[in-house]
Amino acid sequence: MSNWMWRSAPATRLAALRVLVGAYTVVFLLARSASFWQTADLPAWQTEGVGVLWFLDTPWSPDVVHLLFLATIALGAAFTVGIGFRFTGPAFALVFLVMSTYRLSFGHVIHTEHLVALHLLALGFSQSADAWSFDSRRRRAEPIDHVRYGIPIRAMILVTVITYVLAGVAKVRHGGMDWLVGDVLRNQVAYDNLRKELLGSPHSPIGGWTVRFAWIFPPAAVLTTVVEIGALATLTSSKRARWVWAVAAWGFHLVVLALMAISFPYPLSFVAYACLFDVERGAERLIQAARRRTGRTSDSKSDKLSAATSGGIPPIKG
Amino acid sequence: MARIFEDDRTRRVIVRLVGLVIVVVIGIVPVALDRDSYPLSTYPMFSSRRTAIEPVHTAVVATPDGTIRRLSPTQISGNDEVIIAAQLVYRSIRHDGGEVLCSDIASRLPASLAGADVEIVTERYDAIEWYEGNKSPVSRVVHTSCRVSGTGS
Repeated sequence: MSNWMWRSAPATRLAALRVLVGAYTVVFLLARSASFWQTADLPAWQTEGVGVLWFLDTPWSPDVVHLLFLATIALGAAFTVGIGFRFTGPAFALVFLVMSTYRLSFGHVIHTEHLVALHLLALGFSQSADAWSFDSRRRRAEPIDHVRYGIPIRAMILVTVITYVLAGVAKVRHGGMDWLVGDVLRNQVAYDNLRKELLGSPHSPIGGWTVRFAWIFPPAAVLTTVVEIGALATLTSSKRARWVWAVAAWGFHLVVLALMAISFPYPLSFVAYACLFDVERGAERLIQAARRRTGRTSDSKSDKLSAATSGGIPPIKG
Repeated sequence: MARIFEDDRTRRVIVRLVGLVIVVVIGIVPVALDRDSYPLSTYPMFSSRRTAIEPVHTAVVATPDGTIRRLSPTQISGNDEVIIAAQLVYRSIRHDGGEVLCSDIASRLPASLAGADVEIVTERYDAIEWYEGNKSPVSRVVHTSCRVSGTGS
């Protein structure tokens, strides 16, 4: 465990994760702004605090909720570009946790933000703005690979694995063999779509059609459980195992979307799995390609600054 | 800070502590509590022994000619999340038989529905049969109803 956690990583890898997860979260907040905003108008009697707001039994004033939401977006933008990260990093991780917890403190938990909230905590409380950030523009030397950049990434991987394994174990624990070989999954797909229809919400016509074929569901249930518990494979050093699992998990969420119209945008965007890979290399290739396209040369002042802020990637010489 | 990271013994202790905290907080606590929460959960809703016939709590509009019109999550709860709307109806039935919610919904509905009734209902269907073409309810309980005033938008 010690050796697994204690791996060096480049500052740019952690920075790439900060940019990806931060940008995803800001886009998510903007896309779901109506839901966050309307939370302020939910009836007071429905208040039931969860998680870090477990003590909540009366709602906050709508102005406080709206201000907190706007502050979350502003902090999210600062987090993503890495401005004043010593403050904005932890602040965004905590404010997002509070804001998203508040939205779920009215009687039912939605499961789209669990993993991203945990990833933000790992990123926000680390030195993830030591590269590819406004803060790092003043740095003269590039940070060297270090465990301080590796441990937060390992923590992100660990919480990803735990959330999937927990879901897999819960299915076997609560549903037993009925979950694996019975009609539980089929009933779940049918009931979820029916409830959406009866509540006047978009539902999946594919899911409704699929429940007519009972034989599909036992193998699908077994596959689901294998994918969830199979998250443990990402703790190995095999890159292939990480790719196979990430693609399988992504496919699983795609099937859930198709059959139940339930969207888990974080895994579906693949950003949830970015911590499993050397994401900085992809980003570096993109930067190189962009430079090649614009034909920028290495001797301009802006290129020197750009190289300094991009982890020392040499500009393409025209 | 860097010195702490470079000291081999301290490093092992810190790493074990970090690992232990993560596993305990994210892994063991949710399993021990075994309930749905945030950001830690055992996701019990996806793993319960779901049967084909389950109750659905919802709000509908019954027009004077007897037609049932489904309402959207936003019309029911003021929020576009279907799960929040479903939970609101369920909790309002437990809270006061759905009366306050019924009036809230009725006041939000447009003038075109004036004269119709909002009904807070629990319906049971066989979900599998529904998708095989049999859409008759197994049971339907109207908890309360109230007249749409038509002053909403």
